[in-house]
Amino acid sequence: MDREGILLDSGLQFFGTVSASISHEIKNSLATMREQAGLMEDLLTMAERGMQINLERLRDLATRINRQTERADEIVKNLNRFAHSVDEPSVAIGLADLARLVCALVHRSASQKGMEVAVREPAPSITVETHPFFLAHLLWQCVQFAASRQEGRGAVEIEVGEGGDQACLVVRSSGTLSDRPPPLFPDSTETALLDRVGAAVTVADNGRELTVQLPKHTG
Amino acid sequence: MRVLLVDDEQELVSTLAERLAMRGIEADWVTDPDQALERVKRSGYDVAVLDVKVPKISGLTLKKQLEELRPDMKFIFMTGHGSESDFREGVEQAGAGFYLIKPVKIEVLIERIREVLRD
Repeated sequence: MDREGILLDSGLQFFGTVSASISHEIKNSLATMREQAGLMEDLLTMAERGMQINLERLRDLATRINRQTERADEIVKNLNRFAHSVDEPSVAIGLADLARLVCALVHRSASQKGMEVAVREPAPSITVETHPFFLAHLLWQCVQFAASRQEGRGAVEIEVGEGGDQACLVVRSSGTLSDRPPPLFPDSTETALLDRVGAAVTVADNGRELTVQLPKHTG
Repeated sequence: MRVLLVDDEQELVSTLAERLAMRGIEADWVTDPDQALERVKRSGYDVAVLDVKVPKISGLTLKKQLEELRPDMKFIFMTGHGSESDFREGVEQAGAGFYLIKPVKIEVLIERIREVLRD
């Protein structure tokens, strides 16, 4: 398969995986709101029957429902940003913003595996000019690789940095490294993504650390 | 009748447990499989209501582990993801028999609990 075919195939899979994960999160938020609203109804029914109810309890439930709507709103914002990442083939992107988006997108699947993913940005705001969707996909692949290197619970850190005229994304696993030899990285998908976004990757420390470098945007 | 609810959404599962209790059904809740196994080791439950995706392992795998501890326990699965047909197929393969798609109506859940205990 040629590069474009690989990007299309793997991109569709990535889009599907992320969309499914987000829909699951939204469903959970809706289900929680439904139960909390249902509990309010139950308490009000009890009050109608002459039983004493605690008004603070109702207020607390209202606050919790509000919290869930805020959570769902944040999830939908991330979905919207992700969906719009395919709009333009090349734009100036804040690297930390992109890293935070990928972190949010991967959060649920990571926590299912007992994994935490966090972004560190010690350097000031760094911008690159490339295709946002493909860079997000590449970073996703890096995070999946880092997570696969760990045994049991652990954490993956994405550090946004720079070196000279290059911007860097360092994806680092903490926790116990697996005894298994690391899989090939970059594979054909990652090679196609690196090529598409104009980046290079180095793998260090038996697969514990990946560094993706691409030119900083200076315009 | 004692029910164990297993879902990583703490607010969801704790509220569900409270609503079941208001309807005369004793319900405990946990948010991960290790807690579920601990609870079942300590005391018996008639029914476990499991999310298909719990942290670390699948709901189907957890079901098998719980069955080893309590072979008479019945199971109901809940899911918020995937196609209904995929989910149903997986659940039937696991022999669970009952499944619900989130968000679940409390009356429907109670009906399923009673049905699964009748079987």
